[in-house]
Amino acid sequence: MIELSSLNPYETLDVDPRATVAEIKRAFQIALKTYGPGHMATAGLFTEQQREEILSRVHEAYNILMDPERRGHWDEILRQKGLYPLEAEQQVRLPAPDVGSTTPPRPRPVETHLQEDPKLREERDQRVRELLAAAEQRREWSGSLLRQVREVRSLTLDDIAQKTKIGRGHLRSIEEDSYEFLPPDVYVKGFVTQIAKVLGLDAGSLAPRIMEHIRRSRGPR
Amino acid sequence: MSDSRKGPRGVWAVGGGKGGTGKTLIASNMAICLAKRGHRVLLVDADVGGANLHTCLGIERPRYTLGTFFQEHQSDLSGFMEETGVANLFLVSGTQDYPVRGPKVRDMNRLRNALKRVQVDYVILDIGSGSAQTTMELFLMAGLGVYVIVPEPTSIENTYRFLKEALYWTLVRGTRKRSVKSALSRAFHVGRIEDFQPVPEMLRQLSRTEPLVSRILRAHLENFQVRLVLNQVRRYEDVEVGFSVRSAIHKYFGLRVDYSGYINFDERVIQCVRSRQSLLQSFPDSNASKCIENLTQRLLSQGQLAFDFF
Repeated sequence: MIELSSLNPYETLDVDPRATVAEIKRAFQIALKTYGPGHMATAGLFTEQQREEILSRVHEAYNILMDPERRGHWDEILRQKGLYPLEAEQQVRLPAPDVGSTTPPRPRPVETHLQEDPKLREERDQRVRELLAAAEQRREWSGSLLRQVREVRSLTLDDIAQKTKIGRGHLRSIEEDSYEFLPPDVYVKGFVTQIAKVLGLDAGSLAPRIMEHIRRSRGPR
Repeated sequence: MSDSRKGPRGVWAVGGGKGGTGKTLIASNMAICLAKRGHRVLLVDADVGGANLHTCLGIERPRYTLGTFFQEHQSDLSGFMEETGVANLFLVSGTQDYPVRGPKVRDMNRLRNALKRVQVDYVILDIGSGSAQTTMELFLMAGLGVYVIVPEPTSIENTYRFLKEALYWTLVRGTRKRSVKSALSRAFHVGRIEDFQPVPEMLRQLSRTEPLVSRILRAHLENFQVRLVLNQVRRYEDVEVGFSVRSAIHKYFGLRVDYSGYINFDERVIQCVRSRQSLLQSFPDSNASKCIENLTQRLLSQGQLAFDFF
């Protein structure tokens, strides 16, 4: 078996350093199954002890990658060693959407939470601002950002579905960055705009960025 | 579409340790997919002893076979290429009539050289099952090895066995030194699983006594390109098996392989085999056809399946 201490957290979880939070979560779930007892991919290849060892590394790697600060620390190490996939990163960054301004979209007050405790509200807005800033820094405007904001606002998928009249399946597809089965872009753009509005985000600047990501992920059709 | 005078742009072998995993289906339909995109494609039925690629393409009695190529000591494959009914797609049929002992080393060398010169854009080799040396040689002959698995323990078990043998042969072929060969043999054939060293570690240890050989073998290892393909996917969880196998290969062998795609189980595949027609032509809109198109695209662009595939 490979020397586990030689692997960085991304290698441990088999994800790309540019992986989204949703991808890391999925990779973690799969790794838990893979190195759990009796999985067909690992039975007979590793001893019980080795499996346990891998599992504990998997947990550790996941905790690191879920913590933006610790993840950033690792990214820095990888960059210094020249192991961060620079070229591809630049490629992804190339076509920045023209949104008229370079400032990241700001959260707007949410109508749905008018009665909520102002202190709590400010806290949540602050979290949303952080999320947007992090997305700006990574240039990663995927649908999963909408899920993160929704969770900060402690809204359920049903809440969004009710307010936007968009089917839950579509909402989930957008949030999980699985765009394959969504209707054509022009509809999706409407969805994203509506979701952003309901979440109290600046839809005018956010929607084009997310759409850009979706178009790129879906490729030419 | 392109200048093919310099030989093919890509030679892909489609193999898999276990029989019945869909190697022939995938090889033939990937070839059709490439041909439909305008590439000149040669399909070679290299399933020694179990050739039936011609049947899948609706050719009843192939005029030429790879067996004749071997027997007549030919050096050019173009005389053995047959048209298939799909534009741009040519076939060299299998070795039904070839002696059971299989091709010899010099036959293999001739085939390897012929493949480098053949006037097409892509060559796809359909390899038989098992991990015998001939099968292994054919698999390693290609620049890219497409390895087909199905989500079943038996298939996966064979995958690791096949990979181990393939890695062993890749390295052993790279050196003439007996001492190194026997060291490799010892390293690969250990009794207990916990004693098996990942291949980069083997080479690191070798570099202490044989730095030059170790460097050469490392280059050979880098040329060992494997792409996993998961066939007969019936459920959402099945797709995950490919990620699991990829991860296990990395952690056990220290080797990176790509997970290039999966193909959904489709009843119509069986219909196609029975009616001796290809899936991509009979049911171009079927789910399985779409999967094969996506797979071919990923192989061309060297992409991988992402974790957000569904």
